Amino acid sequence: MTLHFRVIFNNLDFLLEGLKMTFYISVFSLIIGFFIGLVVAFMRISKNKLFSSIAIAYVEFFRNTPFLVQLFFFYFGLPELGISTEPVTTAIIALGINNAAYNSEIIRAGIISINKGLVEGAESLGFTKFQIVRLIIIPNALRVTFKPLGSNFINLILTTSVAVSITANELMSNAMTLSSNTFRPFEIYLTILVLYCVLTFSLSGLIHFVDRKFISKGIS
Amino acid sequence: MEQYIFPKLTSYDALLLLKGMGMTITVTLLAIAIGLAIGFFIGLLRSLKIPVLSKLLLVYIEPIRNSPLVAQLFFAYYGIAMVTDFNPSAFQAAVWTLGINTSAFAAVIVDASIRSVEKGQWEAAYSLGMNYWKTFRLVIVPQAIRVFIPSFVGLCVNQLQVSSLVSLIGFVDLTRVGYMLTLRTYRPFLIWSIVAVLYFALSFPISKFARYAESRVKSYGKIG
Amino acid sequence: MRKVLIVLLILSVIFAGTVIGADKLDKILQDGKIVVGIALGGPPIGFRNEKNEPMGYDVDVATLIAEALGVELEIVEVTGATRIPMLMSDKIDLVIANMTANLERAKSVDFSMPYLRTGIKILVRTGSDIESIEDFNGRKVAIGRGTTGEALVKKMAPDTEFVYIEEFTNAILLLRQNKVEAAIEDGTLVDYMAGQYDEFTALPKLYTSDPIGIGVQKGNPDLLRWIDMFVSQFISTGQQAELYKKWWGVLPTAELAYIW
Repeated sequence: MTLHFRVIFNNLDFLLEGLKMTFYISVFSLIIGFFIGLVVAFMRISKNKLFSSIAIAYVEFFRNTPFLVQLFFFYFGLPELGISTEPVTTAIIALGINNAAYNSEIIRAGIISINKGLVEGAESLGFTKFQIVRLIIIPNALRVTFKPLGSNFINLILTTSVAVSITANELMSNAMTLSSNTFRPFEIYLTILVLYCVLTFSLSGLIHFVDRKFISKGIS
Repeated sequence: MEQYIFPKLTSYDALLLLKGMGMTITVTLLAIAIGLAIGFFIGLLRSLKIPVLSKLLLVYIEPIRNSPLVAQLFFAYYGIAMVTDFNPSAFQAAVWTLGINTSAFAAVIVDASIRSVEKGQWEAAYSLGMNYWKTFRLVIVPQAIRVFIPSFVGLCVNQLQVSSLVSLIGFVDLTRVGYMLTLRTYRPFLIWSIVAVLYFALSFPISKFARYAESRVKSYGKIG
Repeated sequence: MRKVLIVLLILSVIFAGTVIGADKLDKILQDGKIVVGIALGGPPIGFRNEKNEPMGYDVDVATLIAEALGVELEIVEVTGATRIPMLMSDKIDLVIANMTANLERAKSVDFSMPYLRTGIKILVRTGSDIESIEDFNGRKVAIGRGTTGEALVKKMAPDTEFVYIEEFTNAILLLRQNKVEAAIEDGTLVDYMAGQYDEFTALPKLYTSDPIGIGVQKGNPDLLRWIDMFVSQFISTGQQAELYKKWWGVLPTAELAYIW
């Protein structure tokens, strides 16, 4: 058994290009996932029956079907309705929509956890409803949900690898291309596993640091 | 030239979809069994907080939880056989990779469930002359299981979803059947809709149960 | 790294099952079964019929080989990207997956004599302004991972936007959905699709002349020799021409050489 890690060094540029694409997809789907998640969370707790039913259906559907199937549906299925997107765009949209379902549940729990007295106090001070949401509910909910949302984001980064199935040319995709040209899957996939670990470990370190330093300060 | 494209869905396809669904259930159940067995063992060891061992176990748990299952599957199926004599079939690679993946998550749940029981209970049981196993079985498990079940059922739902990734190493599960049928029929919208509905039918009842179990735990906590 | 290797070594001892040293031919005859990797990504070379059974030229060749060996045939689906790794890692005994025999691949696998000859062609939507590979630059093209077409485009039109596919059939979907402007594959697949659908046109230019061979894992001279002899007789007896006519409706244009 001889190992040739040279194949990694010779093709480092190609792998780094994939890593860049993984970043790109992650960041954009993070943004989409957060905002849709926020909207769905508010719909879910809304007193309007229609809104809350839509939100429940959304969350249940996306949490109870595999992301891979969703991705194939978006990439190959939707064009039959005239909605055709490229692999990278498809990956970003599908990941964002999928992640939103998980985010919304966390945000909802965060909103519910807010002390009623805080809201009532703001009301008595003459805050408008919109001001209360913007200045009291969202900041407080985010404080509680920062860490769970952070682990969702890490999960999202790992899930970008599923985009290999529609060849978004991200890290996993490029690793597969490299493997099919060099026939060195052991070295390549081992390196990729380590790379993802480094990425997610440093990110969760960062999340913990930010949380401790800025977010949870003052909360026991 | 003859036409070799078959856009019509037939009873053969229904049968194939059922078979794929059966394979999805099989792989998921086996993986969960493996994951629970290994995960229970590791989680239990973690809960003992033995100084060096505890850290070593993290070396098992964390890389698995922090790398993508797709890469793990590709590594297990294509990679390992290239440099060793161990040559798993797609089925073996699917079951074992998903099983080991599950075990890392299960270990964390087991550990957290055991530690959710107050320390004082251990001490009280010891002072009554019970040994470790007796305390664990009679005092800790009945309480820890209430924390364990909702999280674990949630994990099962999640592993059912990600079991679809085994289709990427060519194993014929429900997702792979969907892929095969789109190649033959050129009707991806219809086929992926059907596949999504089938997964939903498998998954929704289980996640409903998880939600129910969770609410039971919460109300139990309030009463207690 | 060393720790990982030790763990793997231990695993390999525990799970060791394959006997090293014996020729694959012995193993096949002994097991009474041959495992063949076939790509089912495009008619008429390999595809599934309405009963979802594998069919096509490559499937027929594999069936004939199993019959001649007197063993059972097991088909494992492969793609352009996975066929060589799967052969190298012992997951299949043979690759009969429309694989071009070239010198680069021959470093990793052994090839039989050619049992088919074809060349790279381009498939576009009818009315497209693409006339040659050079026009690919800056455009999206469906290309099979690890295929001859991929290497060709990398060389001749490096600025192409690669949209990788595993099965040629998906190129048809992508072309139809305007996700790519062209697809590149062997003429045996491209011409067939252009013949099936008016919406697609095969560009006349043939870029390569590629021998398609059966892949055998290195270190199995007996099996390779047997397969070579099979292919030779497959051609000399007229079976090859007959099979070609069955799937493409015409006699093969390229002459194949035989020895026996």
